[in-house]
Amino acid sequence: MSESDVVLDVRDLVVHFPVERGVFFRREVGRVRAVDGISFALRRGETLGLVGESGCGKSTTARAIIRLVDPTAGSILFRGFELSEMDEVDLRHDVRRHLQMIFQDPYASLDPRMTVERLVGEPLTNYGVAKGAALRERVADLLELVGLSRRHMDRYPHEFSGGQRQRIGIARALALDPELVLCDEPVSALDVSIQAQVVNLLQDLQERLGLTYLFIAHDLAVVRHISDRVAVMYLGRIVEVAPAEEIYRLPLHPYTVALLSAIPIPDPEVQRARRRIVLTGEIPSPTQVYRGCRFADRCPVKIARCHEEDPPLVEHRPGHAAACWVTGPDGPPAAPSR
Amino acid sequence: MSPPTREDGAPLLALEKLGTWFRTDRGPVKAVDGVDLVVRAGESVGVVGESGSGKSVTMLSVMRLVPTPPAEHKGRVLWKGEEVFGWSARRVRKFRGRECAMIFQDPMTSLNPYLKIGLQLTESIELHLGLDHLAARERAAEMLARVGIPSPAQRLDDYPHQFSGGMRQRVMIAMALSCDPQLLVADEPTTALDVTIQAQILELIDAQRKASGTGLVLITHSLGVVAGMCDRTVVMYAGRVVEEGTTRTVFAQPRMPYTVGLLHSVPRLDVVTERLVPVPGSPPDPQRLPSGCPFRVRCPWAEERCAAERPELREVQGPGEDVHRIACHVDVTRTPPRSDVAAGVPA
Repeated sequence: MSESDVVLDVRDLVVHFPVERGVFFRREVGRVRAVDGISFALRRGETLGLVGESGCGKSTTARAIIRLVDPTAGSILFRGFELSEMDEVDLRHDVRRHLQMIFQDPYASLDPRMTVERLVGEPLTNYGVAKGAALRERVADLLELVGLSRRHMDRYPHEFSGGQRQRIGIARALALDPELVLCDEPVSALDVSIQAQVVNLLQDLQERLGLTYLFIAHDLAVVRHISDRVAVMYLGRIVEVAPAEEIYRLPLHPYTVALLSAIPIPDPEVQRARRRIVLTGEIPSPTQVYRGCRFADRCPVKIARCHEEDPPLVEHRPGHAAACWVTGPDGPPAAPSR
Repeated sequence: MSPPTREDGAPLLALEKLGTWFRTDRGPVKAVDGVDLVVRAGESVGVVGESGSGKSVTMLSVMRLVPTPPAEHKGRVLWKGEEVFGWSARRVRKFRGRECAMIFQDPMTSLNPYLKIGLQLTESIELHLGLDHLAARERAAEMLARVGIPSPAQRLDDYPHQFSGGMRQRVMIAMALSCDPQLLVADEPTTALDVTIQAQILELIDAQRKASGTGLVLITHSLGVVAGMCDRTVVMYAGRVVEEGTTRTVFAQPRMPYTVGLLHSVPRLDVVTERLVPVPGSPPDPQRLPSGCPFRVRCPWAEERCAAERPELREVQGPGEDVHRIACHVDVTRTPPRSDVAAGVPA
């Protein structure tokens, strides 16, 4: 991969939120280590899926990239700009139009008092791209691009179903022709029968417009389907990165193995024959400081070293890396049966 | 486990043309519209459907938890032959918790945040089993141990906020099973939880109910959860049952176009698909249901007849002796779908 192919390069990104106590003298008593040193690169036109359970830091990662939260440390390179060091004015001037986000909840992310025309046209007005009749024309084009029609322009969000609202959100995100779109759980609030419509739309748009996606979701089946590569997060860290077609066939990290086995497959024959690894324990608190592997407490195949040393992300197969002391190119040893 | 192939045994719960209508200024909203359903002792039935399909309201109506008015009920609900809608408040109290218990989706809103969980657990044990307070506490601690909560006796004196989401759901399961009900109704019990915790909770419900021979009605939107847990599957759409059968039949040979569509529209972990086949259109507005079959406007098989006539649930030939019923005029195994139904284009 040549350097120019890289759209986004995130290195050692850390996002900590201080936990404060006290009314008059506020002091820091701990830190939520939402994102705790992650690195990844996105190539032009690809989709990187980011999966993990709630609290693993996947959404915070996206919010730090688009600077809705400030990174504590690390570097975020996008189009030659170091996003982590830019101020709000420069961000707005140089970056934001090329970097857009699609949000989870299409009920909360659209202003209920704005018409569809204003919602989709707002980015165009803000950046002075179009106005008047040209603006209306561009909005109509955008609506048609996402499978709505120009007839919808004068309506309000409440007149639309969840799936249609998400289309409006997508049209708004695409208004300025962005290079990179961060999709934060774009289908999880939608009804099952509607999810596939939006997934297909995102795939079509990527093909037509050459978009690059960071696709964040907790549903590994959806992520695997839409992504070229999948990164699995656990407690603020990326524990595994793999080509999408390999992650189900050959997961390398014990957490990924357990996560995959926990996801039900809608086929009674297959589902009942599967070996499930039910993890004991809960996801620990992200305020805790770890010396060794964060997953060690729940890991069915841990060894003594796992509690002592933090495992680095190591490439075990081409394009397939895992942060685990016990795994190898053929995956971790089988978990003992309970 | 061997799913029943025929309908054996006396029904525990039988719904006969159950309707739950909400009166509004713009006319009645038929949240549940003529549901027939039978649950036998010890069997597990999965009720799948999207939001607004009426799956929750159906079971809330059975529990007599839908206030009337504004709602009004049609049809009958029979619990071991007794008519549930005819019961006194006293009889309903005995039914709830003792005979039929319910687990809700969100364990935070279904536990009282001001009361220690010990008190919330012992309340129903004292009421239904007639134990004194000390014996009830013992029983409560035993139940907490059964659902895998460490140091159960101490945890009785904790408040709900001191438990994590998964642990709270365990408390709810302990509470539901504490009086040995014959039927457990679980309404999206794992939707608010993460997948690895979901797997723990489902396994727990399954093991506990099998150990005590409790029947289960599992309400969910997840086809995968039903595939793994339930003997029978009931698919609901727009307040009606549109397909029903043994789980293996419904998943292997779905016959109602909506079920066919749902199964094709979800990506599967174990199968690589280039492109998903979505169900076109959107779920219907319950105040403006189309005439005839409510799914016909999204259906690739719809015929003229579908607009004119509401399809009743009818038996179709399944493999072997498996039960299989659908509410559809068309035989999707013989007729090819129309290709002109515009996928995903809203009206």
